[in-house]
This record gives sequence, structure tokens and C-alpha cells, in this order.
Amino acid sequence: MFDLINVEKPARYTGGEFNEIVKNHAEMLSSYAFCFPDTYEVGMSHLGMRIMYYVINKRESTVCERVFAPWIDMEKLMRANNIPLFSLETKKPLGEFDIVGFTLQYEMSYTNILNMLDLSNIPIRRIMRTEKHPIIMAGGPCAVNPVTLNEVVDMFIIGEAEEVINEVLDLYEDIKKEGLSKDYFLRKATQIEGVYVPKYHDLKKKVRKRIIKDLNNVSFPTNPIVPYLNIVHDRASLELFRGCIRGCRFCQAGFIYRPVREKKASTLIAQTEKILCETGYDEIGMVSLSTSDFSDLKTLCDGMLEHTEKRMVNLSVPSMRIDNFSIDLMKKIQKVRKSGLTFAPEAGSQRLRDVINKNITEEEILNSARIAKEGGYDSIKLYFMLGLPTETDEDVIAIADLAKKILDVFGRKSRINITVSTSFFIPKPFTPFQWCSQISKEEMIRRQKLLKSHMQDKKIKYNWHEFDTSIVESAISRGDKTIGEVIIKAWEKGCKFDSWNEFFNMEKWVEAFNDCSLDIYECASRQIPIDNELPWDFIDVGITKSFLKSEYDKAFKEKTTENCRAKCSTCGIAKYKCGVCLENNQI
Amino acid sequence: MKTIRFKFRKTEKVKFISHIEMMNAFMRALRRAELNVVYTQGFNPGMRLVFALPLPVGVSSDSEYVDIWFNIEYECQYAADMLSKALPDGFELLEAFSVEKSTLMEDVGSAIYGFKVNSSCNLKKSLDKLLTLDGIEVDKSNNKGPVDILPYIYKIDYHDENSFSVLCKAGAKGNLHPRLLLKALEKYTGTHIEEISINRNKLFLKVQ
Repeated sequence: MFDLINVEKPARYTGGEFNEIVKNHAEMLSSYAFCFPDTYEVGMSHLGMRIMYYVINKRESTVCERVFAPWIDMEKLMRANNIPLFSLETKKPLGEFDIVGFTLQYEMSYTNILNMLDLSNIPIRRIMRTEKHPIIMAGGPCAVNPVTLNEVVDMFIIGEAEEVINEVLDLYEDIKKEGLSKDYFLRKATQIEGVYVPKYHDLKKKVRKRIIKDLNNVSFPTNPIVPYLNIVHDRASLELFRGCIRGCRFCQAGFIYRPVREKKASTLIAQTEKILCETGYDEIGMVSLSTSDFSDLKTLCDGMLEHTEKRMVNLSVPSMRIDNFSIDLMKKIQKVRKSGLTFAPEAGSQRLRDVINKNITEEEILNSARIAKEGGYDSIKLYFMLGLPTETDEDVIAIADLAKKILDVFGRKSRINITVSTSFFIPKPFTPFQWCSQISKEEMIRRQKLLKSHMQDKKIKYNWHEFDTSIVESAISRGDKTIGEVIIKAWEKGCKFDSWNEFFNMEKWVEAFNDCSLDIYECASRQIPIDNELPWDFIDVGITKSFLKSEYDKAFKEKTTENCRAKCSTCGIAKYKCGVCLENNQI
Repeated sequence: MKTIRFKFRKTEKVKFISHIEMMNAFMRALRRAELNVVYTQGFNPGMRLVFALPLPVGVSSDSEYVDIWFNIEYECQYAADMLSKALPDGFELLEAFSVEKSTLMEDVGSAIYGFKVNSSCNLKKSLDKLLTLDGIEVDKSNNKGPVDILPYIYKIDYHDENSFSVLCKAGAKGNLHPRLLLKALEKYTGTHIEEISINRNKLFLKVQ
């Protein structure tokens, strides 16, 4: 191979890490390239990738290898030397795999998918591909609105893939053994629940998402790859549960991952010991949408601490509500360093928090601040969203007021540092706000300035998210087939690594929309009439459209909805007959 | 408490791993091996271990050393076996012996690097000429101005038109970065020298 000495972080491309799985392709029935359309450091941090790598490689007949988006310097070298994109394990070109699967974690990575295909000399449009090309698959949260990638991807998996991937690969390997075509495989695959094949989709049929009913009985890797490079989340990760009981109305994850299904504390404690033995990590993190909602948190923490303390391992607990329990826990686990605390009230006023169904009161927030003060914390991060539906100037100013009230709790003479960060609301499919508009760029700028003008205190630092990336994300995430053409145009103009500020190029995106006779700003701020058909209506994620509509109505009446444990809101997910739906005898 | 010195090989397979990444890899291996390592006291406790001399990224080595402090009086062979099993592929333990007092970093005195290159110049002549100069000034990569590397070079052995080795000063009190020699060669011959590989063949430690 050519000279890796001249690229930044060559270890991104060399593989060979501890726990890497290398198989002999000649002995396999099929090969699967798991592609993460971002850098090694981002992709290797992703728990879903660790799980799928393990699940597929557990099959004796299948080999799964990893592929990441090469950084710009590497891409240049590869193109100059005519080297196609290759896997880390055996350096096999992507084009030689049976199946190339992409994970769709965020819309801003879509241009990287096109670029990775192009770097592999695989035509980006499926109609241009033949039997000699790999099957292009995709899955992950953004696959709930698959039509934007309809012309690129042969086959989507909707929902959790641990089980359905085996059904798909069994079918593929049977068909390959019989010497039948890939096209025949695609046609047959439509019969598998959770699979969407654009070419053979029956318009009368809905594609129903797949879930794992019992997380205690599904493969979970306790021997994940341990990278040499310092990746984004450089620690062992333990998934406590899937789904979220809360139902914040802007949050896509809160709806598409329903219902909440927990692992048993005993399962998790056993996995803690195994994963530490097999990786040697000095840190283990709990992963879930809302750690505090784990029903047996005390047993879990005590059990995990027993293993972590004797090994001098840090326990990291993100997404934690601040209360007496969590502060006690923090004291136990952070004997050495006190990192900052993070709150996400999302909205400044109680009125707007009711609109978005963020069931937390100002008193609760301030009480958390008091507890944090007693716990000796001197750095607090606050996350808010600007441009939420119904937001007024009073709501914007209320963000500054809340920050000041928290500052008052600590006192002006304290060493406290408060950081307020705002992002812009982006309407997402399968949320009650999927019909809502995003505020215009002018409004974004005005509200951000308004907030800034009310936050002049030296002890409060204010950061805000980029305007333009939020606009592109909004325009793509609710996109239809035409938006798919826009994405291809944008890539042709040179867009890639759009989630990296240094590469994001708004002009090119504006042009790409124009080329398709669309206005990016109109697409982003479009209010969709509630009775319109939606591009993702044919996907069934379990919750009903009527439930989303009722949540939409309640939002504008400033009415909240109770969490799944307190009271079932009959969202429709109970038909899967598992998790929190069974706890409450809802069925 | 016992200090064990391990000699190991960092092969081609892991030559792109940086020094810090390698330290992390060793610490993770020690944890997997469940060896009882001494931790430093203080604000941010870490495992007590010291490597002899950082290796530039992209350079392999047959002669690396690390001193590791243990709370238990392990047999050297036992500790080596356990660590060896836990190390990632590409690192090979060669020897393990106990040391009374660890001054590993200060003990580094000199090193031999083996170079494999592609060049259009007459390598033997160019190397000979280099050593007849009054000084060999090259710019360090960190923009700290030129440095004369001639005093660091003790001996150059020409092998064939693609390979040679250098015995040079190494360690905290003066060290030759092997790539600076290639840079000097490019500068004084006016040709492009393509680095195929560099290997640290030997690292000499002063006798305690």
C-alpha cells in the first residue's frame, strides 16, 4: 500500500486492534461490510456498530468487517493512487463484499455515504448497479424516513436489527448457495418483517419496525474492539434499556424506540465484570436515553461499583437527573475529579416546557442546583432549544432568567461557572411536532441575539449552534424523494462531512436545492397541513398517527402527558406486548 | 513493591500507534492480565510505568523497554507470561528482569536505526559525504530553527543501495530523530528520498 506516514492519524486505517475479528473469506458463505459514514473516532464510539459487528460475526457462515469514511487527506491519496475504499480487517475493497451496510445516525452524514460508494467505484444510484455490485443496505434511526435515500439504497432495515439481520443473511446465503440472483434475493427479502426494498415495495403494505422484546436474551458484546486511537467515547459501554418513558414532543428517539425495555440489574452487573475483564478499559459508561428512569438504579450502581472500584475503573453516568441519590452516587464514583453537571430544561418558561412535554418544574431545576451546590460542584451546563413551536420572546428571555436564578442559588461570590447552550428546534418524523415549521433564519438570528442581549453576566457563558446546519438538517429529515435528488446534487458539488463545521458549505446546499427547483429555506420552515400524507406514512414504528395528532393538539393547548410508567397514553406500541407496556398491565 | 523491566518489540503491524496510544494499550493489557500494578498517588491516579524512549509514529522497533511497578513480588517470568497473553497482536515481549532502581529514561544512551529507502542518488557516496561535512544543519519539524545533527551521529553502515543503518546518540540529553537524517540526506543531495521503513534495531542502556 502507499505511504500512510503522510496522513493524519494513520491508525484510523490500519485495523489490528485488540478484539478485532479476522476471518478467512474463502471459508464464508457471505461477507458484510459495516460502514459508518463518518471518521473512525466517531464510528468506533457507536454502540450500535459494536453490537452489529458482534452479532454478524457470531454467524459461522458470515464475516463482518468495518469501514469508515476516510479523512480528506486520505481520500486525496486514495483517489490519486486509484485505491478503492477498503475494510480495516482484511483491507478488502468494498466492491468485493456481498453486502455493504450503512448506519444512518444523522442526516448530515448522507453525503458521506455517496462519497464512500464513489470511492469504492460503486455507482451511487441503484438503477446503475448490476449483479456484480454488492447489495447496499441501510438501517439506524434515520431509516424511519427512508425515501430520501430511495434511489441509493437497495434495502432498508427498520428498527432494531439483532434478529432481523440473521433472517436477512440466512436468506441471502440460501439464495447464493442455489446460485440465484441478488435481484431475486431482494424480491424475497420483502417478505421479512422490518425490511423495506424500494424496488419491490408493495404500496399497499406498511413496513413494520422490528424490536427486541427481551434485552436480557439478546447478544451483547462484552468483548468489543479496543481502539488504539483516542476515540470520542473511549470507554466500555453498557446499555441499560431501550426507549424512554418521557415522550418529550420534539424528541424522535423518545417515540421511535418505544416501548421501554430494561435489562435486569443482574444481567448488567454480570456484563460489567465481563466487559472489564475482556477490554481492560479504565472507564465504563451507562448508555440509555434517561439513566435516572432505570427502575432498579440503586442495585445496579452498587453492583457495578463493586466491580469498578476494585479495578480502579471510573463509572460514567450520563443523562442523570440531579437529585439526592445521584449526588450521593457522584460522590462515590468521582472521588478524584469533579466534572461539571449538565441539565437539559430545553425551554426557559414553564409554559413552553408544558408545550414540549418536558415534565420538569422550575422548582425542581432550582432544587437540583441547590443539591449540586451542596455537592461542591462549580460548573453547570444548561441545554435549551430555540424556535420551539409557540415560542415567544418572553420564552426566550425566560432562558436567561432561569440561568440567573441558578446563578443566584450558588451566589454571586461563588466560583460557579454556568454555560448555556442553545440549539435550534428541528422537526423530525414520528414526533408530535413532525408537522411544525422550523423558524426562519432571520428569526433564528433575531432570537439568538435577543437571548444574548439578556445574558450579559460574566459568570454565564453562552454558546449557540450553527444556523445553517440546522436548516439543512430540517430540510432533509422530513424530506421526500426529491430531497434525495438534492442530496446527490450536493455531493456532486463537493459536499461531504457536513456535520464538521470546517467542511460544511451552505452555498453548495442552497444551489443543490435550487437545481431541483426547491428553496432550502422553504423546505426547512415548511408547516405541513395535519391531514397531508407524509413521505414516511408507510413505515409503522408502532405508535399511531392519531396518537401523534392528539399529542400535537395537546401541545398547543399547553397540556402535558404523563410518562409511560405513571399512566399509559395508548400510543399504540402495546401491540408489541413487551417492556413497560406489560409492567402496567396495559394489555 | 517490585519493578520489572520488560524488553519488547513493536512490529510493523503496530508502528502507526503513537507513544501515548501505546502507553494506553499497555495499561489496558495490564488490567486485562489482572496484574497488581502500583498506582501513582495524587489528583489523578495512574498506573506507574515508564517507557525508555518514545518512538516516532511509523517507526518499528526490536528494542523497546518499559519499567512497571507491581505491588506483588511477581516472578519476572510469570508477569511476562501474563502480560504477553494480554498484549494486542504486534507487540512481542522478549525479556523480563527485575531492576533495583529504575532510571530507565536517563539510562538511554544510544540507538541503532535501520533505514530502507528508495532514492535516485548514490546512497553510499551521499552518506560518506554527509560525514565529511563540518556540520549537518536541518530544520526541526516544530519550527524551532535549524539543528546540527552531526554530533549525534556516531557511525553509518551502508548495506546496499536501499538500506543502511546508523548508530547515534539517543535519550533525554541529546537525541537523533531518525527522520531528520533522511531530511539531511535530501537537503545535501538535492534528491527525493522515499522512506520505505525505519526500524529501531537496538537501544543501548547505560549499565546501572
